[in-house]
Amino acid sequence: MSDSLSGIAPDHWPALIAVLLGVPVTGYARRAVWRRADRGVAWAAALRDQWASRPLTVRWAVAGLVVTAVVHVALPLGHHGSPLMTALFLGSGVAYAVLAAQAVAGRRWRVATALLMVATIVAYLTVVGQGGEEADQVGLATTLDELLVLGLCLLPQRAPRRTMRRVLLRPLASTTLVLAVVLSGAVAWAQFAHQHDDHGVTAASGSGDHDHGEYLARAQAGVILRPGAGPPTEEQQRAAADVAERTKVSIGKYQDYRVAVAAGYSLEGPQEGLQLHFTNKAYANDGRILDPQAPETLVYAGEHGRIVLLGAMYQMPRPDLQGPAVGGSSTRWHTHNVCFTLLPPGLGIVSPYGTCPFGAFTVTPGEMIHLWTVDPPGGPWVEHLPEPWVRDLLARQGLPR
Amino acid sequence: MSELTQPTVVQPPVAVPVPGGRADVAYVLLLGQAALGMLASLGVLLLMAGNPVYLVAPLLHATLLFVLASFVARRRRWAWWGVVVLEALSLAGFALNLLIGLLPQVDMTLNLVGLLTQVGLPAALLWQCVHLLAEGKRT
Repeated sequence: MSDSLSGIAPDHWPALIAVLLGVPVTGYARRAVWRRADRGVAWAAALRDQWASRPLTVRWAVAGLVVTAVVHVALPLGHHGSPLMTALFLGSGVAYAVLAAQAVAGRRWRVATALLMVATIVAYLTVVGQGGEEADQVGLATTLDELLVLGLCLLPQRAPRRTMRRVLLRPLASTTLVLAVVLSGAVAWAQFAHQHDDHGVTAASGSGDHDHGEYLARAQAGVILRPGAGPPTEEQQRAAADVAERTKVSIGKYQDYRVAVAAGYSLEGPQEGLQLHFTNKAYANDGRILDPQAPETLVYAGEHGRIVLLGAMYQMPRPDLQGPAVGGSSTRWHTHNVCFTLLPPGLGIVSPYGTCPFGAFTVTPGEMIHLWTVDPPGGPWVEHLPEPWVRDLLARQGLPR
Repeated sequence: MSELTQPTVVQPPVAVPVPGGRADVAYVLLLGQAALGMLASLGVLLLMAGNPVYLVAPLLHATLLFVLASFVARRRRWAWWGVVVLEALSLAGFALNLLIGLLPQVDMTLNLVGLLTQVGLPAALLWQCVHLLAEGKRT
């Protein structure tokens, strides 16, 4: 097991620490109030009675509201953003705390909480979607907390007397919660995929993408990307270019995929697509690392009866070994956090909320790196190729399959 | 003196459904778990070229969770037992996954949200339903 703390943006550490510290502090404060209540202090007794009279759903919602309030109030400690953003964080944090107090006091809180929760989740996903920041573990965990509170405040209480309003409202609230979870996760996923593509281009071109990804070891949505360092030195650039050139020469003979198959490479995964991986198991554990004469995998694009060699993929034999970054930050190794399903056997990507389908195992293989030998935009070490560009290449240079 | 001759009778607690109680918390958590499973199934579809065979198990699991959620909220004991078994299996699966991660060929990456959804959520559900069963037995 590794990378337990991966995917937490440095900006968000203060918020996480505040929540972790908040748990014992809240427990201590609760005990102090209860002790005063036992001694007959009126306000403490009233507060304890109010708390005890609240249904468990409300108490859970209050706990969730306090967590998200603490996160929002603590975010400006790490986020050195604009004064407006700071004010919004503080304002929403105070609003959540006020709503929690309203809920404890038995006043109206559900509608305002639901609206504020939806607004917060939409705003967060919009910021993430526009590239304002990368969805990290603290952001996603807070979103989960907010979704839980949303579900608890939307859910009408089951009452002995069933009214038509309750009968209709319950399925509606349930559907809203399920859709909110799936949609928020799908949006975060799409954004991860987009940023994963961008990273390759920016890292390779040297321009750099200055969201969290440059210094954050990501562990979201199936991709674990090692943190980048500063720009590569001239020596590193030369070394990377040398490996790229030698690989291009070495795998040139595999333009026809049948030659690769005859040499021991076999197709794994989908039979059609813009990235087909032909792996040579004999090279997987041969002790040779980043050897242009024996790349572990060849990558082809193949669909509609045509196929073209895109390049190679080098892979480390064990997950506890780091790949040699010969080109510094221009050669960033990555791995995948994948779901291995048993019924039927197959692979999937771990969701942004860290889940796999029921019955699937989460596995992380050894680090890997792509080396494209077809002069793509972004250079040979770019992480991901633009699909339109690959389709165009396949149409122009693809061989009959 | 009269207190001695006329002892006070303590009424046994009456079993009444508690609005907004544990059962409703478990209901919301089960809906969330079902939704998380459905989201995860999209990740398998993506890698397995949209093959719908891979949707069967996740959809069956999500349906089971929806059914259990519905009956948990209606305070059916069998549904509470069902959740206890299912969540115990989930936690056992997580423990097994940790062991698999010790193999030299593969690793297991665990992060904050993974801990919340793979450990926190099943544990919370297990806790709620065990308490519901215990409270049901007492009353």
